[in-house]
Amino acid sequence: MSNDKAAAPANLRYVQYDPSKEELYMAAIRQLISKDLSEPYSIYVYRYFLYTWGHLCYMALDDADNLTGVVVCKLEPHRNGPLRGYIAMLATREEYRGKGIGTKLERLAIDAMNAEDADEVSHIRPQQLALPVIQYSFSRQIVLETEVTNTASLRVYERLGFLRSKRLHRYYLDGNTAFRLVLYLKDPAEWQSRAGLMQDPPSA
Amino acid sequence: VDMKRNLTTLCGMLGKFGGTHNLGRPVKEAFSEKVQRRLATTVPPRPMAEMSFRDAVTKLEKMLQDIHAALLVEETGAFKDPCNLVNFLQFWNVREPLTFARATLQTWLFGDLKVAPSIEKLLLKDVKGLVLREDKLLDPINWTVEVPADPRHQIARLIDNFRQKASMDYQNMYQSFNRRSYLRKAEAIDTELHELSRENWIVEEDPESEPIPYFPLTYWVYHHKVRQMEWIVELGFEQDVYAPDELALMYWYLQHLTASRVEHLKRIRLFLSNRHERLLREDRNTEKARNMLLTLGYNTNLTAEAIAIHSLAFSLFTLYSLLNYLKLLGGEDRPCSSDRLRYQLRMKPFFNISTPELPAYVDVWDPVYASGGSQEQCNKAEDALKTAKERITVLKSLGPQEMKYVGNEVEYQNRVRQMLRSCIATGLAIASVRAACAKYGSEDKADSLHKDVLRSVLNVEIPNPETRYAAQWVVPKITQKKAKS
Repeated sequence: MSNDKAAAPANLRYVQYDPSKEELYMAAIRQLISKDLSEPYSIYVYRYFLYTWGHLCYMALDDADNLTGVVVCKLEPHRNGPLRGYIAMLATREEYRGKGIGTKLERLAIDAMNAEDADEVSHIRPQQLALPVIQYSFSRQIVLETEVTNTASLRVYERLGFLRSKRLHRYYLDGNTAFRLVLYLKDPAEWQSRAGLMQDPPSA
Repeated sequence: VDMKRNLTTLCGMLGKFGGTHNLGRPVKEAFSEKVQRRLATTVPPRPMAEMSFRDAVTKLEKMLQDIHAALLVEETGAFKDPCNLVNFLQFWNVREPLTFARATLQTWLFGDLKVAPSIEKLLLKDVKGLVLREDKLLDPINWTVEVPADPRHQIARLIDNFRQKASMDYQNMYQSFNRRSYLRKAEAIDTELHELSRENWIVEEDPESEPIPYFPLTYWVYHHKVRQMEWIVELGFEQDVYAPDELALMYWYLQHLTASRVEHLKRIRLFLSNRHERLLREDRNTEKARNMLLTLGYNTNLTAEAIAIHSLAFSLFTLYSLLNYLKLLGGEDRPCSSDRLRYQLRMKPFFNISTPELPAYVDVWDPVYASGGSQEQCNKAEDALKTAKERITVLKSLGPQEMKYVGNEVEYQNRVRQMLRSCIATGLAIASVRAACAKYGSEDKADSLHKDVLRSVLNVEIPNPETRYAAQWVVPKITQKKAKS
């Protein structure tokens, strides 16, 4: 990392996104992410995530309200079973990398997904799960893909406890290979013993 | 065959592309979005990657080289023996062939062209090669008996039944080599093979003639199953999927699997040699006896290979658990996770399989003092290396027919050599740790200060797949820094 990098701005605020902030921040989010990530995303991709799971998006803003980092996620039941968090995008301004901003955004996102307990369950339509809505938390896992060459990203996630579960050959449009990173937040066995009504989750 | 002739011609053109490129003019309309839309597909036009001519030629040449290597499967006759074919596919896939090449080979072998014998024939040959050589069960007479009550007729029916059920999964096994998307395919294979093996105990040899009951088809299925599992674990090393502090666990699991297979091969060997003796005694049929000897020989060779893998894996497991104990591989402070959860995630594909049994949790972080301290660990690791080297010497001397690698002579010798080098490198790593522990360490369990000293003295480097001698043998480079006193 070069020496002429700016030090992390002294007063970084971490702000949770919500739809009312779209006019203010959507353009900046798109710009930061398209600069950082190799995959070309259209406006529809951003809307897909931010309209439904805006509350799982966190932004790092400096004094002047400039966007220095952002994380975008979603949280959905995975194949009629456990709730699976998916980290779609994480980007930090180049000058501010290596200062823990990415890690902090990650933690906020993971904690938010973790806290989606009783609330989360009530948002899911019972028909989707084919069983009565139950007031306990499902086993939880968080998943994302990143290029095998993206060592910075790998370091952020692996330090938090993610494991490389698969290698996806030529996953990206530009031919790069990806690792799928997964984090278990709750013990599947614990979840299975309580959910007598559910089928065994298919091996994913 | 037309396809083969065309491909051979194309391969002959390798190196000749690009010579006259500068004389051409690009015609963008020839493959525009409009043209894409007309293609027979429902997928909307994808963004088109712009590739430079040089990149395109490189890619084409690689494709042709892959196909050229694949052609060898027929020329060398590698396809004739199923085990040989499996080995060929494994060696061939190391070059990460492009999709078209893989599809071509697959069509060749199992598609319309049927270079290889049909899957069912291959299956039977495989079973014969491992467990049922010269056995009454596979006597062709069985299929000619029409009386339903006759046990021979029933045997024939049961074998056919097995063949039909197993052929789908058996074919999957060949295809899984071609795709290396190992987890999903392999999981399906394992659970289905497992199902099959539960059904097959009906096919038993008459207990009066054999002192021990034996289940040949189950044994055959089990052997393949465990071998697949070993390959899956090895693939994980090759693909750089395991974190440094997971290496101990994965090498533990690899040695656990191979240990089971070694035992299993010994079991098979027992009734193979019984049958051999009986043939010599009763039949006096020299040809049959000779066939038995070949099968017995193959069993011995497989066993030697399995022991070699087991020993090296055990050695690395021991070394890595020592390094974990000294906290030299990182991974202690993970706020969002725990060792147990990570174990659950990592071993998920294997939990549904009941044998070889997988414990609910394996602690590889602190087994060291359970077994006597760092010097003891180093001793164990080094002893295992000795066994590995002995077996590798045996493997080196085995010919293509004996170890079923016809068509891959060079690759096989390379593989053996790489394994030997990995052993030597492991020995060096162990020696470094041993020396450091002897100089700075303390065998007193409560003495954490010395662990800290050791940590500041030793530098551990985990090589990435390109720099290893063999991709599946991750040997750490251990060097000493200057001690801070």
